[in-house]
Amino acid sequence: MSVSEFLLISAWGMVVGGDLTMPQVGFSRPIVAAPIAGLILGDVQAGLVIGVVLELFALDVLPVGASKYPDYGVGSLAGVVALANAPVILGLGLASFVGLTVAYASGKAVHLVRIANTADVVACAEQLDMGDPGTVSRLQFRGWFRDATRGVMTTAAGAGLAIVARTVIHPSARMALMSSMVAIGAGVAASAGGAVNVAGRTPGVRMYLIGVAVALLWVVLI
Amino acid sequence: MNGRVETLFRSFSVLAAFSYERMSGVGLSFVMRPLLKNLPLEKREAARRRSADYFNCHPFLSGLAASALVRAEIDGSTPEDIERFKKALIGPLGLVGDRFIWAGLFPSFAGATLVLTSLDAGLLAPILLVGAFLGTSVLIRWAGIRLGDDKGLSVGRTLGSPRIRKALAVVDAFAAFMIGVAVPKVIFWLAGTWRLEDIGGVLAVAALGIVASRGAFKRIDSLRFGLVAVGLTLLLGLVT
Amino acid sequence: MSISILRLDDRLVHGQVVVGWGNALGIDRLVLIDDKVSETEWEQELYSMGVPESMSVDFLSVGDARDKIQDWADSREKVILVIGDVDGLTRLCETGARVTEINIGGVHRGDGRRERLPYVFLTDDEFATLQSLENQSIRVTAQDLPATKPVPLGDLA
Repeated sequence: MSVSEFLLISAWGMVVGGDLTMPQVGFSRPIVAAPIAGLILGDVQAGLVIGVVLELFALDVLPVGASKYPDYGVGSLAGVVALANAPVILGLGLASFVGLTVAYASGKAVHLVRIANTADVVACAEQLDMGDPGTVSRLQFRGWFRDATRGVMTTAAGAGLAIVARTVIHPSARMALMSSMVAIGAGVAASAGGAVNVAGRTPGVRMYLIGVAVALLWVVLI
Repeated sequence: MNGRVETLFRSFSVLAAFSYERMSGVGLSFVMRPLLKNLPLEKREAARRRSADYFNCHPFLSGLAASALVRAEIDGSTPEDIERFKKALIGPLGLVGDRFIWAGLFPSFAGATLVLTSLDAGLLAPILLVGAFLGTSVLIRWAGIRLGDDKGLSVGRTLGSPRIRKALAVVDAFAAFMIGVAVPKVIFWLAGTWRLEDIGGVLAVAALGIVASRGAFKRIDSLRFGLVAVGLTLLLGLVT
Repeated sequence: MSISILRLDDRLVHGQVVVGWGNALGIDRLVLIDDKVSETEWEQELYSMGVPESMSVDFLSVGDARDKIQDWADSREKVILVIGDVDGLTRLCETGARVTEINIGGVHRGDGRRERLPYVFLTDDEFATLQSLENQSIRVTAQDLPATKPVPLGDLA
């Protein structure tokens, strides 16, 4: 990966990570974040593959209330760095592992941003209770800036981790292939959990299975 | 009400200063500011002082909260009623938004995008997804701002109508259906040239993952299962 | 069959309760315990608006709820009870009502309250009250969603 590619990925990471809070238009979905990262690295296919696998995991996330959740968007960027321009089927397991690790860590960093915002808001309590518009605007800007910084930093660190991982870790071909399948299987399990989360246990499972049946018919018939 | 368009734009940033102390209260103050100009001067000051206190709701519906609160002020609600109204908006507006958007539209769109990807749509799939997210986001925000402006204190009656409750259930069920459709499509797409027994392996891992994260061990979520399962396999590949 | 959760949460109904716990546990009935809300129509309209049709919603005062706890515990439905304030919670647990477990789901910023967890702000008095409930052999833990780790009350000191 060249320096300019690294900078571009990090800049994209600012948009992807920041999209968890604004503007929330899908940049943070792995199926969007990863293919664009693939485009930057000259391997769109690797981006699509990582995007699909981590999107299966992301379907299990419901950002309800102020709950904490992994940042699969930034995670998928690291995954693409780990996989780009390598044989997909052998590298997918390792790239997914890197992606999941970074998703977990970047999700934790969201919590740190919120803690920093909280300290900032507490310090401005007096002006806020006066309803001072300038204070409100400044807090908004500083909050956004922290989040953008988090996006850049976790992406850059994730990309670094990905490069180290693909340089150092060389499992046997048999187990590499196996790990790719395990990654996909774990993603499928996550997506099934997602179906229950969105629609409730009984209707969720029922509609999920109907969907699976429809897709199988589609695959078989066409 | 004047200032609705500016509120629409501002509402995209409602979570920017999200904190555990006031949650998106600071954001709501920012979103609401253009609408406060509709209040007579003596009310405006008091409303502004209240505007940045603890508040939270689904980000797409923050404009609705802002316009409904300002409408309630215009209609002459007492400060006590305004406070209770604001508090009563927090959970329900979060819930309706979570079910309709996070648990409904967005996973449906994401599932559809996975299907498109499996049909080799390439970069077109993510581009369509962002377009769909942005389009629905603007529509929902705008409709919310208009509804709050229109109904004020009684937004609950409209949003809680049987038709809307029905729609929520349909959207959520559709999301589960779309996820179901997407899964086999992407497995076959990812597998490409694999043999059938390899797909069996994928399904076995999936079954194990569902049992682990949904069954006896509530503490194992899907991310942890993925990390442990993939990590162990890679480790085996290093030592064998 | 059971009261699945007795939850202390000042937002009463919201996504974590209905989508987070409700969908994961297959809850049949949601009971909101608040003296004021049980008397105000527009508030009830608001609080019931996002609840799925598969879940019934009741609005009860603390006194009425106390009388019915035993019925819910014996019923075949899975019931979740949500109450907004510590004071009401104490009154609910008085008179030997069969409560074994309390889930602190969210109490937010207010006068004299201090942050104990990102979603739990309590005054020292409220904390002491919860401790006294725990001394009556009720298990008190903080947990916002089914997937997160429960935090024992002692860790919130």
